[in-house]
Amino acid sequence: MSTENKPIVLCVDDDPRTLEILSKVLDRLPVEPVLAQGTRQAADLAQRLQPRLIILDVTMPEVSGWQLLQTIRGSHPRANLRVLALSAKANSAERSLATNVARIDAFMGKPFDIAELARRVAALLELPPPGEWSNPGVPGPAGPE
Amino acid sequence: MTDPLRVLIVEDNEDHARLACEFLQVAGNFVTEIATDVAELHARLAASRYDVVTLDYNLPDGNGLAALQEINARGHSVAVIMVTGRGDERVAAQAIQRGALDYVVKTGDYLSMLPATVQKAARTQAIMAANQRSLEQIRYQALLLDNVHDAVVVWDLAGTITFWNRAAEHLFGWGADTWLGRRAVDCYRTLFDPPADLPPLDRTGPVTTERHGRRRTGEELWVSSSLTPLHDAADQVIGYMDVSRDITARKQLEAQIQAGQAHLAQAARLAAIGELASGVAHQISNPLTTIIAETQLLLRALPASDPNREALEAIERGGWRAQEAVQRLLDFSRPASGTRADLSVNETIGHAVTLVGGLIEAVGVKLDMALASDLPPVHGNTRQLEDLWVNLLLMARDATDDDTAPERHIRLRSYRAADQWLRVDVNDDGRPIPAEQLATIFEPDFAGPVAGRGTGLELSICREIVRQHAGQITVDSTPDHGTTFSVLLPMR
Repeated sequence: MSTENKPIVLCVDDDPRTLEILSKVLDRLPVEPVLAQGTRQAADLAQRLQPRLIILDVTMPEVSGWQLLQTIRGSHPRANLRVLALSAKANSAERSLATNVARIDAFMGKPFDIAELARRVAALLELPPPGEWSNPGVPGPAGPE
Repeated sequence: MTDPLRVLIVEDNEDHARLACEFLQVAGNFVTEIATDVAELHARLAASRYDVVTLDYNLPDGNGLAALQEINARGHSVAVIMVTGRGDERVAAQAIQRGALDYVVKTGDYLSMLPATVQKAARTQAIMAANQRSLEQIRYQALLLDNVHDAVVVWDLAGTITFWNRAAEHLFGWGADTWLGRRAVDCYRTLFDPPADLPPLDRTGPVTTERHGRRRTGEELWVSSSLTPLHDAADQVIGYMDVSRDITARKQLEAQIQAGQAHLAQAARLAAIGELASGVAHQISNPLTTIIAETQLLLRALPASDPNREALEAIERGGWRAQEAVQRLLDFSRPASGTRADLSVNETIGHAVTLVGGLIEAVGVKLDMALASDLPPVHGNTRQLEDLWVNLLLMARDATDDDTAPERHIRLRSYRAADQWLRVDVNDDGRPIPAEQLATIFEPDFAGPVAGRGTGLELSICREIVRQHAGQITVDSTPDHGTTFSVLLPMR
């Protein structure tokens, strides 16, 4: 597997099951998923691997996802780092904070629809739309925009 | 030995006077003095106290009747015995009429009767004075009872009201003339609500109760009543006295405080729910992510014909429903933004339908909309109104979520109501709301869904949103016409 051609996607979450799911979804896209369960590890990996996209849970209990994001951005020279925030509190206040203040590129509630997640990731990385996902089984209520 | 009776003999004949003195001193315990004319009589009465005056009718400077009048006029408390000559009985009668207690006629042996007459007059005078004092005492006490702020009602052993003071007139609004002489039981049944019988009474002390009633005007009244048995000198119960104090203001204040506490408790509960929701949301979101995403992954791995798909789809739906519940709890606790502007109600309805229209159609319910096109703007908060319609629509969906009905509808209508009001009706033909729940349907119910709708909290949120828009929300529910929530909003 060549990491030269595939963009690296760094997934940061304190829940290992969520990381596994992210990995399963991303495996079906032409990307290279990297998983980080701790925030220190995440900051190291971000600096070392220079990912194109970070998928980040901003409602982790021990550390604010927003703080971690600032650290990563401070050590990330690339201007085109994209960030997709996941939040258990997907209300409009969080959404507004994410997009206006933290300059997040995309915001999704948790739990999420995997097809929607795949579409968002593909769009952020300017990949072709993942056709395989275009037929979701059950629509989620108040589906992420 | 008792004090001697002080007697003033008014007699111009000095021999007669001395004889009278001697007769009295021999007969008993008397102290005697003599006045020989009217002028001396008044001078002595002014200087000392006497128990009895024997007053001769014929005096050198005036007659006895005039002197008697003068004694009364000067307010001396002294027993007067008129002494007249034979054949002057008419004078004696006049003297009695003017306040003399007795009279003697100067016959041969009148002096021998004098001590007994004087003693009797003194006794009568003492009784009259005591009587007078008692009357004054009674008047004084009645005055006190009339001037206390508490209502005093007294009845005798037969239950007949014998006393009703001024404060009772003031407190109950009924005059003494209405109730004096009537039965206390009837009175209490009229005054108090629920009709009060007389409270049970033991003889050991007053019984205090709080009673609710109405004044004659119909105004609400609360009294604290203290019922005490009244005893005579032999300690026999002769009646009852009920003293009532107006505690209406205190009771009303207590009610206000209780309502305030209930409101505070509710606010505290809402705040607690908010914190709980934020804490729980994170803990629940991860397992829900696992449930939903893994199910979706499994579904994608299975062929379309796989018999397990149905179960997996049900798991996924269950996951989303749980998520929805957490989200609503979060929404309930979030602070509302204060921005207000002129807005189109139809647009907020449109946004709400975009959000939840799919959810309604997903359970097979048809959503019919009739939005009037000529509605003026409303001043309000877009997000709050969107929440309002979302909540009303989702609750209507909950009520129609019944697969056995052939065709189910939710009808949403906006139109211009009377005057300056814009009206939105959300009607559903699902399970009606039981009549007994209609009255309290807008109160938050933390126990769960109200009449199968929502989580128990939505309608109180809806009412609050409508209140903040100076509007009104009402509900009507019958098996024939379904359930309609109507929102009235003031037009700009």
